[in-house]
Parts: sequence; C-alpha cells; structure tokens
Amino acid sequence: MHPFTCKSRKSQTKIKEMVFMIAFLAIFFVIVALFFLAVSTAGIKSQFYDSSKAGAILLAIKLADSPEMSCGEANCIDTDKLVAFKQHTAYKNFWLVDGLVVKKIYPFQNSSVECNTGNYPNCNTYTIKTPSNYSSQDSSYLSLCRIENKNNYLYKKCELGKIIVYTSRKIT
Amino acid sequence: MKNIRENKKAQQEIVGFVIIVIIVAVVGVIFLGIYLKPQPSVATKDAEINNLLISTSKYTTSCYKDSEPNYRTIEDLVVDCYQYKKCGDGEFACIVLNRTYSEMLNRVWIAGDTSAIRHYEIKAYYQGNLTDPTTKKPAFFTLESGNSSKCLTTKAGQKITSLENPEESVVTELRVCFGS
Repeated sequence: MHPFTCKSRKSQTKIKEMVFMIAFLAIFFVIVALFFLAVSTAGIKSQFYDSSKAGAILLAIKLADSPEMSCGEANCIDTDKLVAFKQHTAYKNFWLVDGLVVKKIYPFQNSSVECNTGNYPNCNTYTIKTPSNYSSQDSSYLSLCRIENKNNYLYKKCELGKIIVYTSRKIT
Repeated sequence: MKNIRENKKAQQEIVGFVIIVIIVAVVGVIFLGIYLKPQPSVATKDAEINNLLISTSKYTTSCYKDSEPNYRTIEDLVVDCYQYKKCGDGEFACIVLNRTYSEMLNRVWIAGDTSAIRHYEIKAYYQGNLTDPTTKKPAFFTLESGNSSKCLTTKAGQKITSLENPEESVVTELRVCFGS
C-alpha cells in the first residue's frame, strides 16, 4: 500500500474519533443543561402563584385600611361605616376591582344575610361591589368592629370577618 | 518500536480522558449536592396566617373584667390566662380563651387527613426578652387540631403582646400545616 494512502486513512479515523467525541460532549452538556433547567424551573409556577396571592392579599388589606372602611386600626373594618356607605351608588365604581364583598365568619350564622340599614347588625354579608366578570378571588381575614350599647355604656364590639376581592387576574 | 510508542500514546489518551470524566463527575456531584440540599422544614411566615392571628386577637369575647360591658378581647385574655386571672363571672380566662379560639378556628378551617389543612396549632408563651430566645418559657396555652405527621409545608404567624414591663411579652403563635 502507498504510505500516503495509509497516513490519509489514519487521519480520517482520527477526525472521526474527534467528531464522535465532540458530538458526545455536546449531547452530554445539553442533557445536563436540560436537567438543571427542569430542576430550577420546577418551583416557578408555585412562586408565581404565591406572589400573586400575596399581592391580592395586600390589595385586600389596602382596601380595608382605606378611610371609607377602616376602624382606625390595622386589619379592622368599621361596619357602621360600611353599612352606611354601601347604600351610596356613587361608591360602586370607586373600587378598581371586579367585586368586593365583606363577610362575617365568627360568630357563625347559617344563612347568608345581606346587610342593610334595616337589618344591621343582624346580618353577615356586605356586598360593596357585586362580583362580575372576574376570574380570580382572593381574601384576607380582618376584624369587623362596631359600637354597641349595653347598660347605657358604649363599647367597641369586634367580630371575625373576611374581605374578598374579585379580580380578572388569571393564573393558569 | 513504532507500534509500542503508538500503544503508549493511546493509553495516555485513555488515561487523560478518564481523568477528565472523573473531574467532571466529581464537580457535578458536588454541585448537585449543594443545589439539591434539602432545606430544613421551618415554618415560613405567611401574611394570611398573620392577618388571621391579628384579627382574632381583636375579637370581643364574652369575658368581662369588672362589670359588663367591660369585655375582654382575645389579646387581653391571653395575658389574663398567663396571669391566671378570672373573668367577672368567675370563669377562668384560660377556659374562655380555649373555648373561643376552638369555636373560631373550627369555623375558619377543618383540619384533617382529607382536607388541604392537615393540622393547626395555636400556642401562647412568655418571653422575657424578644431578642433573647433563652428567655422563652414553655407554652401556657396550647390548642391544636388535626394530625401533624402528614405535613408538607408549614406556615406561621405571630402576635406579640407587651406586658407592663415593655421588655416582657406574651407571644401568640399560630402554625398551620398543609398537605398539598
């Protein structure tokens, strides 16, 4: 055999070896990268959900702490104010959400009774803005306080409630 | 002679390759070990649980101090319970606290194996100095529901009530564990 042909074949074999090696390394690194990508993105959806929920809770607290509702303390709604202003239609579009409802949780009442000036405080639901076209609802616990009278003394009576905010934010 | 030299070269190449593979594998294992190290299962602070704790602490109970309507809130009852005080009608503050919290939390959650909330626990303890964990005393009030062995994640909230000496406090802690 011609020595030149022999050398050429050897070079070809070496080139083939190198190509296989490079291909193997490339596949190996792609698999490693995919593995890390899968591991690191596994929690993204739940993190997004948690942060969206935290945002919605903050929104609910912000609404509850507005002067129109607040009883003067954090996480507290004055139901005397609430029942008065919920009658005013001008407030319906004041809240930039798709629905806003405040519910009394404890003491518990079997049926849902919408509050108005006639039945207050023997009721448990205050619909500030009727929910419509919403895709998500988030809530936060708060105190529902009012001024009561007993033995000719006025005192502050607080119960446990929940503010529910309806929004069109979508989590898929 | 030429054959032996080529053989040696091939052996050297194989040894080099094996060394590189071992180095890459060791680095990969160390990196994976650090990356996938299990996090200690501590309860994360949660805004919703904290809000619930703050809201429940303002609840007006049926216990009054001297005469009606001098009603005590849950926050007052926690301190009264720590000081073994009684309500105006002679009932122990701790009993009213237990009853009120139990009824209230049962309205909020139903803890169980089939529920998303597997277990919850509320406890109150005295702490002499908030910056010094060694001043923390065992809980004087505990209320729990559900089974804590099937928890996946735990969320917690805390409410601190200062006593007459502002350095001393009574801490109320609510821990809720979720199964999903």
